[in-house]
Amino acid sequence: MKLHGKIITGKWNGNKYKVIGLLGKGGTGRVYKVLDIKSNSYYALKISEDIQSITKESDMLNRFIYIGSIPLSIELDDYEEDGKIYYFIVIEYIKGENLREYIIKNNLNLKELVGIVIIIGEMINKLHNKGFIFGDLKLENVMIDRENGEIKVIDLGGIVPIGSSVKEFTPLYDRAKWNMGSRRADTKYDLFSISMMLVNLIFKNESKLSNMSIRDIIHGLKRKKIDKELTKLLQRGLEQKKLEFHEFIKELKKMYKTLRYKKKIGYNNRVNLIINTFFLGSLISFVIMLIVVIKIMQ
Amino acid sequence: MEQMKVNQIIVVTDGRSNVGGNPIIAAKEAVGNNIIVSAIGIVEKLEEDEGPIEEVQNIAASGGGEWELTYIENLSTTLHMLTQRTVNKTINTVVNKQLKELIGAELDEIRPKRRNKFVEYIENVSDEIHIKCCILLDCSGSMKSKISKARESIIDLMNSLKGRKGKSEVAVIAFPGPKTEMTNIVNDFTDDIEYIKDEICNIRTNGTTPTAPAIYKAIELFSGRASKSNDIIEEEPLLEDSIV
Repeated sequence: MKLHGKIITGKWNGNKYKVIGLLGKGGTGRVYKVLDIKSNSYYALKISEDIQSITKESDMLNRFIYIGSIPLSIELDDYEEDGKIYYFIVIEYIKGENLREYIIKNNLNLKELVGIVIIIGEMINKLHNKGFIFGDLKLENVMIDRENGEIKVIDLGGIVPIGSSVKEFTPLYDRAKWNMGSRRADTKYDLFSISMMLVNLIFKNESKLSNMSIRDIIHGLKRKKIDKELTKLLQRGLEQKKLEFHEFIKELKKMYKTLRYKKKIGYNNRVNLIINTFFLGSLISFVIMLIVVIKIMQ
Repeated sequence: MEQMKVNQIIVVTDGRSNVGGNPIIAAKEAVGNNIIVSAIGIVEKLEEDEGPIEEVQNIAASGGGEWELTYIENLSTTLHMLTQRTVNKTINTVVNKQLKELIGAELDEIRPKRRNKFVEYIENVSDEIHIKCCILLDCSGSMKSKISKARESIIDLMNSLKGRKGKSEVAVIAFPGPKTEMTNIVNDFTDDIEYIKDEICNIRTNGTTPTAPAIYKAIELFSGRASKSNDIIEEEPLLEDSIV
């Protein structure tokens, strides 16, 4: 099915959308940037042959709209072409990049990375309180909304009730793939994936990361001399031992504050001070010596 | 709904069958035995070399299943997705039939906004339904470099299935088998992941691609009785490594 340049008319609601370009494709469908003919505004339209996944995602978007950090859902409809029915949802178009693209172009410091993870974690926490897990958490599913200065989590197709099986996952963030647990949905499934997400943000090398073992990762963090407490917390997160998801986020928040504190009189600043004092000292003694030499010469 | 069961054969191959009959006819026979046949084609580059792709599509079409092309690295995700889709499709068909009887309309014909309850129901059933899945693994010479990833992927499918509440059983048939056999039952239906891990290590790659005999063998495993396969195997399989 080629949609580029076409106009998609909804079977039930009759709204018309002009397809501008492809935004992305996943296991279940494709997402296009579209122009709503009536209002002349841009939206993202996700279309698929899978009635199950589209209906479910629309349901999740509506059900969890109040928890924030997710895109607005506009409508759900069908599209018929050559006697075949496709199912689609229209959601708010987010002007910006996903986190994976964003970190390649922008150099974020550790404090900023931790901050982003806290925002995502807060949203997932609320899901947990309602008896669901997010499931398919990854950098590609986090959008940096430049226009509104917000972070939004897209693709809610992986949300499942606690106790059922995980339906959608990405190997890098999937604890079963790492031999760190099952694909039965519990809040610790999300704990593993959010920990791995922060590790990925720190390492910035996905292909290398996917070939490492959990032990390699911990060693890698230690070698990188990342904040010691954060390294310890990430280890506990990946191992999911004696740590709940909400506790992980709480600890991150505490650290977020100290990260700022350390920045003010951080290691680097102190080194600078030492170096500057040293140079200033030698300059002064050089000048004194120069004066003494000149005096003797006279 | 509790007695509902999904019987699925998944053919995993990187080439075209070249010995032992027509897999498309074999897939039709499977359907007659209440078994869905899906197929996965392992490719080096997507959308190249149309021969095996066409066969993968045709097997799935006559077997009432799904098909997909994938790189060996993504086989595990593909196996998971394909199984998920087959299961949903099976339940969809039953739910649609019931809806037609009750309200005279299928899921498609209900307003999109009113579908969510049915979709939620289907998802719950898919988590509880009994799944029997027989994987037919191409072990011809050309699979040599891919076999360890293929093993991992089968274990991983078991991981996915085990996450569910319902019963899951997986059988593995290698084709061709060792020596001159067309097929080899690596393990019969079991839910014991450790047992599969042990058995799967013994898989070796060598020889031709007898896809049809593997499908007949799978039908035997499902039904517990011999099928047509015995009449068809007359040709000498393998021997030459170059035939793939």
